[in-house]
Amino acid sequence: MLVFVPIWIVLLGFLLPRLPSSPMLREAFWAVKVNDTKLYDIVFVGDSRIYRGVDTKFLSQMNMSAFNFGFSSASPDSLLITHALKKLNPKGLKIIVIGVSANSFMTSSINNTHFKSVQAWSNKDKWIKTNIYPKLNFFDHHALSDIYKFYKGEAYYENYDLMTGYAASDRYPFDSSSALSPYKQQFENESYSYSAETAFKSKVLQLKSLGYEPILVRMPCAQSMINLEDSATNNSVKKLLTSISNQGVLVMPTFNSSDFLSYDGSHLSSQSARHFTELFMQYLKDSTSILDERNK
Amino acid sequence: MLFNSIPFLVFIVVFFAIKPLVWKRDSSRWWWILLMSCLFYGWWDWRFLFLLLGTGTVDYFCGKFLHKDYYKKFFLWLSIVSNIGSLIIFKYSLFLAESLDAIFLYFGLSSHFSQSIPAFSLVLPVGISFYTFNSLSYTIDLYRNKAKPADSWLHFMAFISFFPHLVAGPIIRARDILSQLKRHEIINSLELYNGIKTCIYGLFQKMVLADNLAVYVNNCFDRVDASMGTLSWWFCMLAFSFQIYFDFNGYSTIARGIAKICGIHFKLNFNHPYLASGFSDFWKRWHISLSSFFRDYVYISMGGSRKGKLRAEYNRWITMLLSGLWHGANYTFLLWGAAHALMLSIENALKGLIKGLLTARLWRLFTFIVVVLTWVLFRSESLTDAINVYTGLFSWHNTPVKEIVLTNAFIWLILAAAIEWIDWRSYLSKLSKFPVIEAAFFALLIAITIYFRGPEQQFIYFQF
Repeated sequence: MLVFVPIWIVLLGFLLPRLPSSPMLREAFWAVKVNDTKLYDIVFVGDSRIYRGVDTKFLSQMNMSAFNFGFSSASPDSLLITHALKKLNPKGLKIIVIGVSANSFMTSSINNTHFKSVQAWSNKDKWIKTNIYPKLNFFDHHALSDIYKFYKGEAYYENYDLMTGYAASDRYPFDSSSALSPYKQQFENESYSYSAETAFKSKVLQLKSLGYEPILVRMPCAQSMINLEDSATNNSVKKLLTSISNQGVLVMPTFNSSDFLSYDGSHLSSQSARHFTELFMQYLKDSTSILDERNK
Repeated sequence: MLFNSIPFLVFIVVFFAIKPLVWKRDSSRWWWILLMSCLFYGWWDWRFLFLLLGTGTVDYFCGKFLHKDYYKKFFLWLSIVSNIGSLIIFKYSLFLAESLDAIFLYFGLSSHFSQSIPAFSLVLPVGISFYTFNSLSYTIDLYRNKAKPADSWLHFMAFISFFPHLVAGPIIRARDILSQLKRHEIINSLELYNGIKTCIYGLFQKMVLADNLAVYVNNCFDRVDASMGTLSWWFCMLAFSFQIYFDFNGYSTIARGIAKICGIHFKLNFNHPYLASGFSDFWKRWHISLSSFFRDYVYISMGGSRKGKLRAEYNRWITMLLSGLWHGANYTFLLWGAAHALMLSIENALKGLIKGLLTARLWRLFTFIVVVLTWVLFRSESLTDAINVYTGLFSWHNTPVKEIVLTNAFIWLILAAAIEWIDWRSYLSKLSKFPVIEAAFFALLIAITIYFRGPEQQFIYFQF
């Protein structure tokens, strides 16, 4: 048996296709996100649109260090923001970019279930996932249905950048309306929390008064998704961003949806994520007042 | 520590690496078992080691007095109170308090029992239902003069805490195990090989079959939606039926394999339960060690079937309700036990009618379907969820068949059923006639377990 085991392992390891999304790296990705103690100039906070939509390593071109602290179905509440602030270098730019969407204040998001579940992993688990999993991902587990879809040309790609917290994602074939139905269902079954929205607004203003530079962004997605969100929440996000902007907080201008490609209507493709990041960098350059002020 | 985790891999390598050095000397063997078992258990939460050692010590001394015929009833009750008491405190206190609150509320009175429960008792010590039953069987057997007492506290604690069975069974009897633990012979290479094969097959059942099915089942039960689609719910319940079977049978098989490598024989805990000819047969094949515990220490203690038909029915219902409650402090488990008690009563009443070949086959099929349906109560977290699932199962909502067929769980469900059939026909054991093919096959199972394991899931029976 001892002879056959390595033969089978090597044989299967090479015969099986390398699936684009590594489950072990995914675990490591989240473990590193909550465990990482490095300090950065900019931290991005938000939901899956943030962690799949901002290619943080590009910011190194501007000699800035950046980290993507996005989690699935996350709400930018006090808990998440407080953890994000710990990643900001007190001697650096202290910029916190917060992704806001209608989904951020829906009842299922305001619990921040995903973030809390990752945080709740035991230290032993976090250590194993951070240090062992990335080295063993050759032995990733394969779902038979994924192999079938892979050979059929249908696949969901998620490539995890453990260093920057960004996950480049794509889905083949693209279907910019596939996420509409679940979102619609969510808006029908849940309610938009105005109290969470008010708490968020005061948190952002508090950040500003404490010397941080918050920048708010509504991530680009399919126009049909924006229409759905606005009609379901009575334009709440638009009103929120305008109101915060009027109080001197930087808010990125709205984007033309046709400039971006969303593979499901909600999340940006990896190519569009790069494009968005470039636009963000340009926005940062244009907002010279911030940089000049900080560089003094 | 989970059998399917990296820490356990390190643990078991250390255990077997040191074993030859300590196994031959009597005292060092017992100490080695106890120390390593404490490490295995304490890895989860070391504080509960005191509970394990505490209740075990009480039972050991009760056993001493019972053997000497000294205040036998008193010491038997002391042991029962100590074990059932710790179960009530750690497992049932919140359930009882909430039930009392609900009763008071029903009569328009306000009570706050559930808020007065001390925080420590809200944490369920892993394996408490198993080791308390192991311990109880020891004192009851001594009371009935069916067993001999352990030679020393060390021997008794090593038996209670022996890590392969500690947290999720099988429930073992002191009279079966203590004498085996006394043997110090190192096992031969064939026994070692058989033990390793058993472990590999158990890991395959758990990590590949159960864990792949769990993904689909968990998705359905995370947000129970009665309108999800009738076929999806039927598929989900079939998947859960095989998931729980391979999960628990996988654990028991690994436990048997590890014990086998130590030279200890654990009795079979599952014997192809879904092929049972009826409900009574199902309980002779499912979680055999628990069923026989309830049969020997509850049903027979209450008089069994010796006191007339009506009394036998009463005894059966009490036994099944207790068996349901043993699984968890929730009304869903109580109803699950009641559903099986009802089916056993019906089967008993119809005994004469299900003798023919056709009716016997139909009854076999009916048993399987009802068992699958009762798993709804077992898996649901609340009665509301269970009602929603039953609504989903019995009201028509269209599901595109393609959506089910293309899931990973569907492929594994077909494979799981096929593997169960192969195992039932004993084709796996026939492989031993061809040693090279057998070695290649079990090596392939290891490779399949590595590459096709499902996302890591805790063993379902850990929560009991």
